[in-house]
Amino acid sequence: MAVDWTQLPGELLESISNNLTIYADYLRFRSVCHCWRSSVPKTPRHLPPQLPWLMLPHTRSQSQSHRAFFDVSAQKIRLLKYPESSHRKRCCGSSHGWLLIMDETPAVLLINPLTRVKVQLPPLSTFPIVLSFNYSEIGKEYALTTPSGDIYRCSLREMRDSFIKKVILSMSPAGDNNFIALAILNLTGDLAFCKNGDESWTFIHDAKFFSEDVIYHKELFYAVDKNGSIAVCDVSGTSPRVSIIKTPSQFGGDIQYLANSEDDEELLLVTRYLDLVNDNVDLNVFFKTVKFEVFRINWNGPLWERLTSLGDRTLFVGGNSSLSLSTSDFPACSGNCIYFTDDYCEFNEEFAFGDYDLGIFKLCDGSIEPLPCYRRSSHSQIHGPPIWVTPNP
Amino acid sequence: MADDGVNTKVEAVSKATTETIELRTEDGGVFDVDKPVAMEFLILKSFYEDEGRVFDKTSIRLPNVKQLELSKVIEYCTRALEFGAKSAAAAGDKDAERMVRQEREGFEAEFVDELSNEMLKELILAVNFLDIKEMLDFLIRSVANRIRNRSVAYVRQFFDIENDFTPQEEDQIHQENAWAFEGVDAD
Repeated sequence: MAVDWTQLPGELLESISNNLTIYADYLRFRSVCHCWRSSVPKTPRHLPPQLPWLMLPHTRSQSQSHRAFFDVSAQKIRLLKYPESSHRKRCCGSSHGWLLIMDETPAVLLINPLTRVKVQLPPLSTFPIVLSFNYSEIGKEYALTTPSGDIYRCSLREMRDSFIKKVILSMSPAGDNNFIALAILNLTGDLAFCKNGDESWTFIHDAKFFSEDVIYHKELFYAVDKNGSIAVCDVSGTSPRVSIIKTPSQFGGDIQYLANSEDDEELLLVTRYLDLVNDNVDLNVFFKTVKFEVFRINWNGPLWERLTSLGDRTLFVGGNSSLSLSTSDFPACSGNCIYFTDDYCEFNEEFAFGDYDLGIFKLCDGSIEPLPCYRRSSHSQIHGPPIWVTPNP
Repeated sequence: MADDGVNTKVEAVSKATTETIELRTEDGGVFDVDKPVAMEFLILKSFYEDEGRVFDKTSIRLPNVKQLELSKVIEYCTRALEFGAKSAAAAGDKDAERMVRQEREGFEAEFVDELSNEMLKELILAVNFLDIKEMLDFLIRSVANRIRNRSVAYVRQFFDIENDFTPQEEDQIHQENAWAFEGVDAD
């Protein structure tokens, strides 16, 4: 019996496509013929969280309209249309597949590099500590106030580079979801948030100084300080409510990250140890990661328990919203590793030299492997460190 | 696999008290199938149970199924029932459960490895017709694995499908997500 697969019942076609776990396979599936194309939705709803891509730094030699991404799953460079790419822009967040881009204006923009959809967040001038903004005050366009009432001024570039440390999202803004954006402010250690549709940012006063990292976990924002204590923030009501969970100081690392996984109950803390390294060639000093340690919260304590293995999970940390993924769906990726990129703006300002600090840390033996895609560049840019992005249509 | 061999195998599994059903394929194959295995075919189950028919030893013709496929189906379903029973017996004992799971995974990997692309396709249609959910899920997963990271041309060839897009339509599809069409495994 000659099998005519274009006449396959729709449910069988849908079942096959539901078993495709990688977005690229799904896109190719929809390109086979008219019948297949119309039998499965344009935007898949069943895909598991995808392995992230590494957005490579903008280089002037590249075509201005495209940006290179290293696809960890396929171990290949992908070029995406990205006309917004510019060395004058800074990416200070990567969450649920959306990048948060700042430039030399007050605009705060979310962009999905895969779908090219853009969402505007309230501009920098709407943060409560920004008193005023004026383009004509060249070099000191912003006036900000300190807790003690003093006023100081910042330029467009200073605001772009050092006002915000990182922004994370509670969910993808696609489809006009009720997402919440949370920003960690660099200079003051404040946390501020805005909900979809808000016209300004709101501070979470009681969570000040819990500014190492923030994660969205079970409808709450968890923010951590240098010692591992947590501020649990509920911003769902009319005003934010914060409860503090103090933990004993257990870490020696320089940077802390929080990570969780969609299906996991666990909250993880990753601490990153840096060392100052001499570059004997140019006599520059810069930071290099030497190791990571991973801890899991034990709510009875509460305290952080050291994990010696992540099992088949792998973490992706850096300037992005930390990712924790099971590698069983992704044979190209080893489990029990931490894929990391450059991420220290407070350290970076003085030490803008040297290679990017990125690689793969293996928990099994503490070794660090270079990332397969990355090529040394002698022109490091503060604004362009590579960053992990989840392809999320 | 000669169907004599399968018949013998099926009969050896059945105990004296197990009833069997006779199934005839469209290409003249005759199979005596244990009732528990046959009842995994929902098309048969509903024929007997839902329709309230008395279970007797009439021969049933399966017009859309060939011998080779039916023997494979019987093989899979028989083992699936065995694994089900082992799993139930191991319940509560994590090590035993894991062993059963691994054994099953080993069997399934071997089972699907031996199937050519053509056979896999034929089986899917047969199993879809017989309405055997668990086996269908398994075969669908296997097909998805076989087209993973493959070019569109490969997928079309695998399923014997003609490209019915116009050049302009194909161009537009490629433009939307050019990156997805590069870097696939060589055909």
